[in-house]
Amino acid sequence: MEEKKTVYRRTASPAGRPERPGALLVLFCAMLFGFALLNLFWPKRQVSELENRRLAGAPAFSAANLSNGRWTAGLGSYMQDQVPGRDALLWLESAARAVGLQQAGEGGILLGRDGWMFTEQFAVSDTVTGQLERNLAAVEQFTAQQAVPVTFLLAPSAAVIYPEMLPAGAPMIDEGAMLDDIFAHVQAAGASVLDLRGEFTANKADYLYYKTDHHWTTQGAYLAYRQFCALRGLAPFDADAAQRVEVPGFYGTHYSATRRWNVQPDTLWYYPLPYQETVYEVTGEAQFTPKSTGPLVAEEKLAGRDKYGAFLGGNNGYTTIEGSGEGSILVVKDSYANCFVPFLTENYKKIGVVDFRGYSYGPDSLIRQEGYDEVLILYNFQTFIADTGVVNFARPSTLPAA
Amino acid sequence: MPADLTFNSVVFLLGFLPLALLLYWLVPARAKNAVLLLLSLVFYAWAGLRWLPLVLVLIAVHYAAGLLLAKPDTGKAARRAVWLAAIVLTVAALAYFKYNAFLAGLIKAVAGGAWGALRAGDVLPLGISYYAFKLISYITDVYTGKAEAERSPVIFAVYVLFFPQLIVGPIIPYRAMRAALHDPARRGSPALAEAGAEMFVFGLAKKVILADGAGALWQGIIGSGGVGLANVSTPLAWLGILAYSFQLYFDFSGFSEMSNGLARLLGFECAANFNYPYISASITEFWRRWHISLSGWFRDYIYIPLGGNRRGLARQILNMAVVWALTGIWHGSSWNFLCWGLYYFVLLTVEKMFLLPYLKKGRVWPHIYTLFFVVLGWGLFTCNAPGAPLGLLLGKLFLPQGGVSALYYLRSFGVTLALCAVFSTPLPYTLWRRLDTRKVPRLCLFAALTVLCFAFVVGATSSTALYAAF
Repeated sequence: MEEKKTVYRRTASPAGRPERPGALLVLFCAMLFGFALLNLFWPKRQVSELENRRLAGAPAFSAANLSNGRWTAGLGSYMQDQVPGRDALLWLESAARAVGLQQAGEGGILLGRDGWMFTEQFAVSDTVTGQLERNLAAVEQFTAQQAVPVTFLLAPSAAVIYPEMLPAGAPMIDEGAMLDDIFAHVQAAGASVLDLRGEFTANKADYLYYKTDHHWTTQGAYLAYRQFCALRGLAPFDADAAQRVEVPGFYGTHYSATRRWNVQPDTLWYYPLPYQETVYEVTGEAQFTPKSTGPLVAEEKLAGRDKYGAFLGGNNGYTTIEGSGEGSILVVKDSYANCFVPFLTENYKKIGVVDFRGYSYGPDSLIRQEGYDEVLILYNFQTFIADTGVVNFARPSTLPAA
Repeated sequence: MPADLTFNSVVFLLGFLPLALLLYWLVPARAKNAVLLLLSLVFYAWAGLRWLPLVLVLIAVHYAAGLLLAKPDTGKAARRAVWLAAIVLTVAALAYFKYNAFLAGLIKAVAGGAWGALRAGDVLPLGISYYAFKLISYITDVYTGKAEAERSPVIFAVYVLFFPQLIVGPIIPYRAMRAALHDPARRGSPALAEAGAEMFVFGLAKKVILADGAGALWQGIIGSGGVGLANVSTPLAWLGILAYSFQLYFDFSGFSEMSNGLARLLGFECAANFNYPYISASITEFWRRWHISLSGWFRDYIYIPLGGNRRGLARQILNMAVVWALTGIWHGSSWNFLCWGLYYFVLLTVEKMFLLPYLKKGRVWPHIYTLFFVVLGWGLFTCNAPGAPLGLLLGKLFLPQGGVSALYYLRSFGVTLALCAVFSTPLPYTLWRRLDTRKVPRLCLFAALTVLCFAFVVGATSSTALYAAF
């Protein structure tokens, strides 16, 4: 057998160097054992406010869970979530990535200039392309068959209005071209479309989107509402004359995803209005029973992390609001409408709100049964292209024709 | 989902590791091997007991076979039969669990008949690629007289299940660990443990800062929700495959250093698995610096037994083809790994036949040549991953085309990639050694790096080693 002496090279090995050991080993052990000990006594939390999620609790022990590996996996998540100084360590990680490594994105969110954060959208996948085709076809079909007027409002993404705040060179998709295409289709089907890009860009100094959240601000919604009034020939609610309540310290969904170290928290505001909303329990197509009645802004949610969820109390399948105007309108929407709808109380007597996440039926039967005079479809671009609920617009009714 | 106990997880760093070291350091010398076996069993069974019987059976077989080979009254034919039986059993287990889908496909392709796939499941038994090779090296060394048979079942089980090497190697032969295994009293020293602590933290930094950082670029292209390889421009395709090359190196060498660091903390000095492979000036040199324990294994247990270079050039080239085909499929049971292995066979043969003398004379171009083929090789290597089909990748790399620009990625990952490039050379380590005499800055830097690594561990959803899947 051939003999080879130099089987394993010893080059990168630092062992055996002539040097007194000690301090570094002591430091290593102090950190390792000190931190492990600290971990035992560190208070455990149920939720992380910073990350806006529930933290893992101690796993339930059983012989079965031990042998199939669930207990150890649960222990892993538990220790990861409950680690001492978790918030500070996450801050350090974010700072090191942004300052040290100059990374411009984290967790699908782009870290823009001046505290701005944006949803990363570099490509439209085949799945999304297919979904958009189905969603658009459903809206076109719905619109074409409607006897009442339909308005279609699609809010552009923040990145379209504030492109200069994106990280340099971010290869965002051409949302403008896609919006043009969507608007052309819906208009051809007979809806009035509200394209906000011009108005928003002209008023971009007005804080139209949250820096830390994926929603528009109350100001963005108000500007859209004024455009809607102009289109429908209504006299808009005068926000300048109204009293408004400001809620500072809003850390939105973009922040929860990135835990950006140098975050600039947003301020959220609302106009206290005397109207009440009724939220229904949806039991079937055009069937519902009242569940709760309350103000348009759920003030208890303003104290928590998910402040935007205060508007209309979050996303509910079917909601009605009694306003002080005339006629009725049905708003079919995503969460962008939640801070928009309160303004409509000045102009309509009855406002119905449908969110397909809690009402998965075609809206035709509801419109007929409740006698709505008109329809507003309100989405933001990102939900509209990808949400699987939008196809409900074209869902055939299962009720016998009246 | 059950999860392996990876070195870069909070539960390992704050749970298993401190408890293991405390227990191991505090018990008397005669109990150290038993404690090490217990720890390794816990480590192995962490994600469930499913694969434990297999490895225990193989350990028992090789232990018994070793004893049989050591018996003076075992005849020559009997020794050969025992050795072969142990090898065949191990290779059969490896083939059954790792390669049966691949083999079934191969048989189907060759025979054309209906061959029922004898699938054992989609999950690879944890660490089988590593411990099977350790077992084969052991029994062959005993058979050829290079190593004495191990008489203690505890020590033998400790060697095979040694937890620092269980998931991602390195594949250290028994003969290299025997002395330390048998001498728990004098095993290790504060100096060795200190080197181990340093090595562990450096390895962890390579994994969580550099490998995961560079990997995010490539995943941002081919991963779900990424831009998609079909949409990228040619410069971005190159940047992506470069980032993947860095990810693979820092991931695997990081885990190898963590493993060797842990081994040193436990008193075992194991040879380095990587020696700055990306500074090589030839493919031949690259393979002397990349995954050294695996190439060493193939040389000692396949290439040389086949005759190596002693039976003429034609036989040598055949031997190389066998070694590289096997090296390829060691990494996984699919065609792309086989092609990747044969790709290196071709490159190495070309170098051996005529290119090496020219490479030795060159100064800059041999490095460029080596990196080009290595990076291209990683393209072949990864083309069974979803989102990176080879044809598409080659088209993107070699037919200049537009698409998503590389600009943003350079801006966002430029520092990470630059750090990867610098840490692919010996420079940072040389600078660190200069700090040996300056105690305070050295300790501060070490503490800062440790805390930073830990922050990255906490911030990341801990990802297993890429090489654990091979």
